[in-house]
Amino acid sequence: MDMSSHPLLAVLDEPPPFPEKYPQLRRLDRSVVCQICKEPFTAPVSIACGHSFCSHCIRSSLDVSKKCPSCNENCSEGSIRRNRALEEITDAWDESRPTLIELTRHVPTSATTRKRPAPEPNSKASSSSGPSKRVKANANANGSRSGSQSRSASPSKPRSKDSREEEEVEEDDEDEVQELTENDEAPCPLCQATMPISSIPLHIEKGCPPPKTTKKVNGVVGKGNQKSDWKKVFSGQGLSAGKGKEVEMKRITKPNYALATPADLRATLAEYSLPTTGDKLTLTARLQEWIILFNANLDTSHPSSLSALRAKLTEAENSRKRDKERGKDEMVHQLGTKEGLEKYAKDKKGEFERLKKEIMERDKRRAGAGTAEGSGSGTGKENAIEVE
Amino acid sequence: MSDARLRRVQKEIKDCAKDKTSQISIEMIDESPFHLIGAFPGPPDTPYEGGYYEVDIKIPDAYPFQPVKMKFITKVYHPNISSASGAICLDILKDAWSPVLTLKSTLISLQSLLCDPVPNDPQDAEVAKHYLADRESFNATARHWAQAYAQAPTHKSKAALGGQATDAEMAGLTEDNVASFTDMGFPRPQVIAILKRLNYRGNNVNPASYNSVLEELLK
Repeated sequence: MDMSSHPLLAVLDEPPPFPEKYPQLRRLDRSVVCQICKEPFTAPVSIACGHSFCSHCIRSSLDVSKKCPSCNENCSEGSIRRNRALEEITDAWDESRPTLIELTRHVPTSATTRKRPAPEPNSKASSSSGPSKRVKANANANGSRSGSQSRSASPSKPRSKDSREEEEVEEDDEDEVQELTENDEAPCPLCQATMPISSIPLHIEKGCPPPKTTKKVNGVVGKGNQKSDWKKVFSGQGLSAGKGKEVEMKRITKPNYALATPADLRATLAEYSLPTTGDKLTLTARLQEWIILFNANLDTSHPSSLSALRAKLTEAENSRKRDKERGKDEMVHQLGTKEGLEKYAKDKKGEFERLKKEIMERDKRRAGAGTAEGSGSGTGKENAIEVE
Repeated sequence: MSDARLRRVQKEIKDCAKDKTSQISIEMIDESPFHLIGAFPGPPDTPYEGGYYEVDIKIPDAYPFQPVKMKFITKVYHPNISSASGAICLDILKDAWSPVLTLKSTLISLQSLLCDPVPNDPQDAEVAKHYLADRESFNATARHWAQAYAQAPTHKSKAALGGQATDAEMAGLTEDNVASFTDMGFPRPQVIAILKRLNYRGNNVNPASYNSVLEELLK
């Protein structure tokens, strides 16, 4: 059986892999993949032993076993730290991957041109000339970025060589950008409003008000905030009501699930506008998943909105339910077809016969009881059987 | 998240199908991607060489945070594999599981388990006793099982054993030992069962003596 043609596998939308003759690119491709979900990192974090995973993955894993999945070293959730550099690298790699794939595809044509002696020594010379190589690569990379048609127009050997360097250079560029953001203005990761980087934490703490208010947070507008807060208090809303509307973007501390009552769990879930239906097990599972989703969402510079997170949570819950009821669905589906129905009838023939016999016997006995009307104990027994 | 589980399993199946060098195959049984059959060849330079081993794979709801459930479909004569049920005693299928492990890496671990049995932590105590008591005879039996159940080619160098292994050889016993008791009139299946249980390796050889076997037989 050809597994790749299976309908279940066909839905998998994987980006095309690099050809086998580029082991270095394949390695790079593998190195930005989380070892738990086997997908490119989303919100990468590092733990005490230095291994990195997606925030969501390692949080789920640590819920099950407090060990590093890679090296088995003891590890707690407290040691999770955002890995900003890795996130940047993953993003940059994700962005440059299609370009690189494109470039590797053009190489077969360059392989034929390679036979011509002229470009070969040229590229050799440039690569052996030490520091100047970097400069040249840089220039080429910039050139190719500004005019993409030049890349496809001349797919020759030196270009393909530079492509690898371009990738390297690009990463360098990204580093530069990161350095700049350190003391410059940057968009808020939540509302995308631009402001000085130092004021972002405070801004987030306040629940992302429009940037004007954050800029004058110590000034007059601060008083204004106070005023509106008091207004809320007097109008009976209370401060916490305002907060509940705009959920605090702070890590949720895990409750002690063994000690928490269903009411506690429901209260916490309600705080994040989540469904509060189900028994304690369902509530616990929901809150656990939510805390993982929510805390993982704080480990990325492209966080999803809370409503998107809620949608994710419901989806996960539904798919888990689907898995549980998959067998049932299949059976129902099977009964829809004629053969399935026949097979089911055949399988359950014994049971059917038994039921038939039971009912016939009961009818017989009832008829007997009908003739011997008046014997109280007899009808009592009959009733008992009927209830059964 | 269940969706992540489906994606990961799909990925793993696809990866395995793509990889031609590892010789490990994973196939779906029905429409569910969570119940699979894995297969790999017996490792070379072992009694299992040439055999083809099939493993039943069930992927739990919490995969990859819970270990996959695996057991041998093909009968294997091995200290860490139950010769009756195919249950496997391997740490990574239990408490040493890690979410970074994959179906492929787990099947490779099973393959290497066939290379290096761990008789101190046995799944099948009788096989483990046999392994510790008489390695050569154990190897012969394991080879017989590979030929009988895992389609391993019969070894020409061992022509003395003949094409078809006897029931005594399949139980890891020599014909002489079995014959010495059946000649007294004891039924053959009973003799084989008791000799196997007591790990009898001939008279005056530890760990089971001739007399203790007789006592058992006369019970």
